[in-house]
Amino acid sequence: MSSSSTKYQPTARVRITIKNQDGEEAYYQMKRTTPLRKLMNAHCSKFSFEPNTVAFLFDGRRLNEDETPEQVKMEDMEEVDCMIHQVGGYRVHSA
Amino acid sequence: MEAEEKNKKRKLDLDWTKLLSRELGDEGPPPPLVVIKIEPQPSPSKSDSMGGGGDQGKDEFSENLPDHKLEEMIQRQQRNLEHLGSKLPDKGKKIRDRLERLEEEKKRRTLSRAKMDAAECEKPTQLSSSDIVGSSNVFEQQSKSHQALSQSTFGSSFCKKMEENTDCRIVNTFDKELSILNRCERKKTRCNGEFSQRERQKVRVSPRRINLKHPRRPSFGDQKGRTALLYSLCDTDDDLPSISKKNAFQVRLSNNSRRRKGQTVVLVDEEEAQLVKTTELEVKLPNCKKDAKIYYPSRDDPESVEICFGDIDSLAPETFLTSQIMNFYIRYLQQQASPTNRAICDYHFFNTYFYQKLKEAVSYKGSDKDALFIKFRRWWKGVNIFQRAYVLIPINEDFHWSLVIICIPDKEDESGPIILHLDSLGLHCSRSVFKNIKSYMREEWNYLNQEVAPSDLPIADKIWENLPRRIEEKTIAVPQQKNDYDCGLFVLFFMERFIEEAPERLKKKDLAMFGKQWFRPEEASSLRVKLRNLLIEQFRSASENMGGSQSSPSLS
Repeated sequence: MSSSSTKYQPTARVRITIKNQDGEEAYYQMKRTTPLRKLMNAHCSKFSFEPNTVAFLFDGRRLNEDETPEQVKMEDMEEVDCMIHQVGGYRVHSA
Repeated sequence: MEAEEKNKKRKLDLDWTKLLSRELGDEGPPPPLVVIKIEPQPSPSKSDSMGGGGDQGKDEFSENLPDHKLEEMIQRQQRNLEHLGSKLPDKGKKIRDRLERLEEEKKRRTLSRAKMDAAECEKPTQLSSSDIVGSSNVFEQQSKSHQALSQSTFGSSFCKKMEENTDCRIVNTFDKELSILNRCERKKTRCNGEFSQRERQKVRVSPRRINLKHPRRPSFGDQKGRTALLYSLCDTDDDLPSISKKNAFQVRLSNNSRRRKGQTVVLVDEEEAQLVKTTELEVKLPNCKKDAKIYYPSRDDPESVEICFGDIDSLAPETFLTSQIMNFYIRYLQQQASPTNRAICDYHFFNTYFYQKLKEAVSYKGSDKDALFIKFRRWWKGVNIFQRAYVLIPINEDFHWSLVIICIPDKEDESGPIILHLDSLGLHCSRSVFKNIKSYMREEWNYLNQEVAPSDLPIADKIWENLPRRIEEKTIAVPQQKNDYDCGLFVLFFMERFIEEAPERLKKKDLAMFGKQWFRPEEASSLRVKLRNLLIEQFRSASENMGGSQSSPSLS
């Protein structure tokens, strides 16, 4: 981390776009050292998602809520996917 | 009174054998026995609850859920409907159906509970003190019966008992008479009573699993049935202490009412089962909050998956699997395989969300398509998928899970990559799956072609040059699920078996490893219990590590 400190300051904010499955986007700013929980909660309340029904994915990896942008190496202007948990089982309709 | 107690105990002993024998007998064709036995005890006064039994068959899948979970499911379905409904090809009809069914179930429960309460008030006199004692005996009884169960020698003595006991069907036909006689002639009914007590026990343990499996899937092998039974019994073993610790009073009370119910009610079998189960599931697990989280394999692992205690709910019998469970087990498979498997690094696993993203990327028509694809490439940052032997992609569409495996040839191979599609119901359209995966591969190939120096090419030059045209596709015949809720388990089991059995690189001739007979469908279905136990274990050890303040139920 220290070597890259020239590249960004930990206190600087990063801009993050969260994209819902339907393509809708929301924009946020946060410090690199703030846990992502804040971001997730903000997004969930904005779209009234139940926090435990969605997953936030950054480059395909699910974000944990106590990670920080810094830990997951988020740069400025990154995009996060917000995906509703998938369910699978198929109830066969008897015709 | 003491004498009576003793009496009871003695009789109970006898019963176990009988019960056992019955159980073994049950594995044959006439499974409904289980149901029947409970009836004898019930007395006529409660015949109204028969009504409740009628509509049971419809929503088995929701029946064994504890109330709060049912509630949760209803909410989840509602949410799903809200968010997804309009986007689904069937306009959310399926969700609505399910929601309806869940709500019916909820109504039914409230109703039946009201009935039960009523019955309790009616019959206070029937509750002799021996009832209470009896209920605490239950615990002992149960553990004894476990032992009994595990002894296969039981079978033989059991058959004897069977004969003494006359044919169960006959017993059955006398049920009514017996229940009437019940009060005047305790002796005669006693044996029945004991049965039902034991039955109740059994039911408690895992009502659905046992009761249903037999009747519905007679094809289950003996062994399967038995192991399932043992499994669930083990489960109870560790619950019991915690039940007694946590709310002994309540348990006793509820046992009581159950028991009373057993004596007074005709035909309530299934309902009882679910009520019992409700209490059970709640206490069963380590004392974790619903939203307690663990990270597998560890918090520091960059590829860790987060899993929430509440996620285990989707492993309840006959429940659909969620992406959290799927992703956990996919991660688990990678973790398990690495020490034993020669080349797990030859595999690339995508998570359950990938395919949706892939579809988005390949179907995008905008002018910045390339930019989008480059962004999408971050999902497999640092990995050249053409260098892997296998790429596994779980698919979730229309509330169904299936699996794609991309098999990449090695440099020596003369043939191109093969895309395999494995679907335990044949529900997903292989053609569109292939189309998407192919265009994904083509774009990745395109991209790599511009970037990668020729010497790095993982595949024989001849093939690589024309890669998009050399991709083959194959819908694989695989064992089919016999129900509508196990598709997630099948996908996980496909993966597990594939990792175990696949050659270093798959050639066309190796496709013979698959087929409808690849494994027995029950093997995949039984993954549900395994997975559940696995997760519970994870949570248990996690909560122990977190300072150990919680008294975790002992695993006997």
